[in-house]
Amino acid sequence: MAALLVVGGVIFALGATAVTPLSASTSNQHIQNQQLAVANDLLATAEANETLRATVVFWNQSQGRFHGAEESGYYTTGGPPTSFGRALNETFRDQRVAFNVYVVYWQGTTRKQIPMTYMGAPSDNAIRASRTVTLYDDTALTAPGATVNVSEAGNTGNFYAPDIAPGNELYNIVEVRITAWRM
Amino acid sequence: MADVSRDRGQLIILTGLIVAVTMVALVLLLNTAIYTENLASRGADQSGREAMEYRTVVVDDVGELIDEENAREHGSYTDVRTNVEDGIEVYDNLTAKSYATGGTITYVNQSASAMTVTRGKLVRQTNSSRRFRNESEALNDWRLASGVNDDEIRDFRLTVNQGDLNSGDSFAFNVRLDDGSNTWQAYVYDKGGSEVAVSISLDGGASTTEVCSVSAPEATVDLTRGTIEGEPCPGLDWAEGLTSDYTVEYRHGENATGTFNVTIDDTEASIESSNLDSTPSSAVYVVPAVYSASFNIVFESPSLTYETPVRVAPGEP
Repeated sequence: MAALLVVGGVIFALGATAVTPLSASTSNQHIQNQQLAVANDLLATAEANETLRATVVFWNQSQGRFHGAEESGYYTTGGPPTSFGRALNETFRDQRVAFNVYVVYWQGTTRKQIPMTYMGAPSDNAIRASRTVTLYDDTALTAPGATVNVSEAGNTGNFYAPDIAPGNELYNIVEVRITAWRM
Repeated sequence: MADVSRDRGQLIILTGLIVAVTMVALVLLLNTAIYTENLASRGADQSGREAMEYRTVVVDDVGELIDEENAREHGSYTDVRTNVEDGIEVYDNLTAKSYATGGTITYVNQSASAMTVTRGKLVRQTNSSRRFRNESEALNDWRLASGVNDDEIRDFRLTVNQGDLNSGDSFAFNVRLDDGSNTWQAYVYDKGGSEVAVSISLDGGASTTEVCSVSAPEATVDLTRGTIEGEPCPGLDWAEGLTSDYTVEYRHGENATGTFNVTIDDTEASIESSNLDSTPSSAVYVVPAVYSASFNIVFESPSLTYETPVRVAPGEP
């Protein structure tokens, strides 16, 4: 009887210590670290091979939203249909990691953001990574059928970001922000 | 006897409890230590990584800014320089603000003592159906610049039409560098099978080695970066084997059509203006440009202060 109590106590102690910040779970610290590293690397790669810039100007002028996005203005099932979007899907969605992508831009001296992909409210253990992309006046819109550059589209009010340096080749500095979390 | 055994039972229970509590405490302590260490080390790594990222981003973006302003073909060097400096200022203000939201101070030191901008010229041909002859069309073999060093020429990009190239590398269009004792030549020609190929010769054309090729109706060869259609071309090593200042010449300019861009530091090297139009035209021409910019960047986070001089000259060999 007494031995049973001792063993019971030890089992209870083991059970109580089973859940710690380092236990394998969706909120595991290492998973967050890994996701953060992956997100940062993904952004760095996309920036280096120019696909990140091509994605932020994947804008449909007549619809006033990202090309092929839903009526709400953003994609909900995955990244945008560009190489950066496909990379996001392969890296995160296919591993059952949900993500939101926001594009933050400057309007005068204030920052505004528009959602590009929205998969829902992130959990408490979400990670956030971001990367800035500079747009120039002659950066061409990449949506199919688009023939103008950001400055021409911006002049007619058909692009989300305004020209922050008129008279200069600099157009706007946008930040692509990824929030990712385990579903 | 019965009393004794009950006493022993209590002792065992008590021991069991102590063991259990000790284990819980120990595991909790260990976990907290690991967790703290994890968080602490992550924080330190982050700001180091961010500082390096900031440096890369500034160098890339300011480089693009310079090239964008150069390509706008300003009428005078003062105009292009003012625009570049204004652009850097706007860029710096905004990036500083966005980094500040993350608790980091960043800035580009633009004071007169910290920033130097080097004057240059952008030599270009934008008429894609024109042959690579000099401005008057009189010369097929002609000189672009002389007294050039590896840090005085950058972003040398040729975009050629495959259909107008010479078949095979003998008599093909080539870019020839000569330092007086050694030469370096890069031939661009039609290899057959609608492929554009690049060959290198270090002995004045007596023997050539094909270094890379690409199948495209229009191919962009970046001579100073060593890429063809954006893909690395390992054998294309600008000015390999040259030891002193060299001349840059086009040979057999009649055997290729297309566009090209090259930015040259004209405070050190000299550009052969007799072969070039001095204002934008449908031939080959030269416009004022910024060759490079050097300045200090500062990155300060709660755990790290990083300041470094950077030199921005995109596409230098």
